[in-house]
Amino acid sequence: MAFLSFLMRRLGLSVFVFVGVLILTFIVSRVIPSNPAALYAGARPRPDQVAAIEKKLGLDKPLTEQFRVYVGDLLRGDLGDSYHSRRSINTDLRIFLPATLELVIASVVIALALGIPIGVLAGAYPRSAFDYATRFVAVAGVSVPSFWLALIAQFIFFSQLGWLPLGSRISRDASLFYPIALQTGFFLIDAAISGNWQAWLDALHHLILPALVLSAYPVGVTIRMTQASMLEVLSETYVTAARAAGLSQRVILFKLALKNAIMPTLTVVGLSFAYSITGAFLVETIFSWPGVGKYVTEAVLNVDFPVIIAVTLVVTVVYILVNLLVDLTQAFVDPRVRLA
Amino acid sequence: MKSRTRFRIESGSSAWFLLRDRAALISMAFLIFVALAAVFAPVLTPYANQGRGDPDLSAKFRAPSIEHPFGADGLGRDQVARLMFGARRSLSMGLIVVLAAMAVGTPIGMAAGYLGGWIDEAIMRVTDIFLAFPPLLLAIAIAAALGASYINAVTAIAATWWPWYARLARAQTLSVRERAYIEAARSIGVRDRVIIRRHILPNIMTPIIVQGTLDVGTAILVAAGLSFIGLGTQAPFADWGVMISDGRLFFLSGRWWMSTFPGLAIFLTAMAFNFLGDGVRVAADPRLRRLL
Repeated sequence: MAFLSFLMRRLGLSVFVFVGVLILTFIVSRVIPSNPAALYAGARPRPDQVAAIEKKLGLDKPLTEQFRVYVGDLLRGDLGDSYHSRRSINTDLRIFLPATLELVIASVVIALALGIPIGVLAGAYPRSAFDYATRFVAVAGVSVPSFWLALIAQFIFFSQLGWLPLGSRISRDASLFYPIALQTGFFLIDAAISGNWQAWLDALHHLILPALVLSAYPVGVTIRMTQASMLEVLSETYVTAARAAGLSQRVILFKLALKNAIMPTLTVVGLSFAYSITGAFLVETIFSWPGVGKYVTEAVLNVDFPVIIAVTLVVTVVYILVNLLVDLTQAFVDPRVRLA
Repeated sequence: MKSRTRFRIESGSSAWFLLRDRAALISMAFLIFVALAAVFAPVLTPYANQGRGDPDLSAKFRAPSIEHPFGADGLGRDQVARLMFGARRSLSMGLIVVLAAMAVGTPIGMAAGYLGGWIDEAIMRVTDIFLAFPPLLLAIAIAAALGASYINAVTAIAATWWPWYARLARAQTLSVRERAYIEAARSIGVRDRVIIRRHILPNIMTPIIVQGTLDVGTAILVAAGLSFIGLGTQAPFADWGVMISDGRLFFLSGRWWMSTFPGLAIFLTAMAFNFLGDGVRVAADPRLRRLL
């Protein structure tokens, strides 16, 4: 019962936040710019183009009326057209969004797979050489500019070692000889469904480097949070009791303590997602990764304002959903959260 | 005797703990070095005009040498001078963003925590909306709406950053509000505004300053990111993000120096702020001192 009421409260908050996000993006796109029509018409528009945009967006009408049209379009799922390519943004996003999500999910997985065990061990042996080294790595992870790390990574793993490809989602050969039948837009999933293992391997090969680069920040955050909560949990009396009862260190750390330290770590999933997405906006261009990040950076260069606003909106909605999912999982696993 | 020991740092005091933290100390020294290089850039480098953007086409893509220790960029500008002038923008972007976010967020958060009721509720829901955006994304949208420039980038980032301080200030205010000295002040008729400014603010400042120190590094990173995609500092001026972007296309074809050094500068500066912030946090919190 407690879970149900938590669910309702949490859903209500998400709906509220969604409406707020609509209002805020509306303000950013229509109220903040001194001449929104010129922004929507792109770089160096002709006066008649500006006038046409003005008419189309209803910019001559009062703001409340504009907002009604704006929300109406969005609820019908119409994100508008790109000024630059003249294509519908919906069509573009259907291709670009899965590409980014595949990259971001891979980097979140890496962040958790590396960050949690390292954080547990660092928390278990405070003041050890490992603890200090870990602390350094964690700080380095949250301090390195992702777009610079991407260049360095390309230099090492492509130019020098030749282990990994320079960029893009798949090699030209693989896309010609083993084309992936697109269904979900996630290359790894689509290739696996159709049993196209050559393409699957090739896609994985391309995914590794950008995902590793994006995971730098979330790895740092995950290590720090896991380490801190481990430190706290390990000073609890039940851990002392378990030690006294002669349980092995491995069981104490990874079975007893981690279970109680995992709550903040679950929060880290949501955070990691946010940071990976953020990194993706800066890094995708460097890896020629055809996702929303590259889409937005190109939109910035082309002064393609409709694209920037549409991506902001769509990615934020995805982010709201991820946070909702994390919170619900947390409440499901841990009764303390529900009652709070 | 007493007057001579006035500036001695008491053993066991916060400052004493901070000075014993080697990482924080090295970081502080490094940041002072970078700040001095930025402030005195015009007199420290013989290429001050190049630092401001003037080209020297005879030195195009010159590799690192004694004359140009970090090489020269595609317009022949000395990279050391560019870095020093870039530091002015990159550092100031980070600092201004954090200070502005603090200045806006703290009073709002204090008002929410102290007044409570529907004002609190309304303010917190507004912060919920701002924090629903992934970091950077909203800043990109606002910066694009305002138009690409240094000052607009700073404004855009600060506009997305204040809710963190509002929440922190609110939480701290809630814990201070019920203390006896606040009640005493209220009972003798001190006005709310005065209570907030004179009695609550000084008592919640420590965690806010700690957070601020930690945030400067991140703010520099975000600002560099905006500049990297072209929404920050505009040519002919440069900050570190712009410099990485300028050198990006030449990086793998042998002209590695253009992006390497500004990247290192951001990396080390952000790291220094993080270590310093951690040091300040531990020094300011007696409970943490014992844990570490």
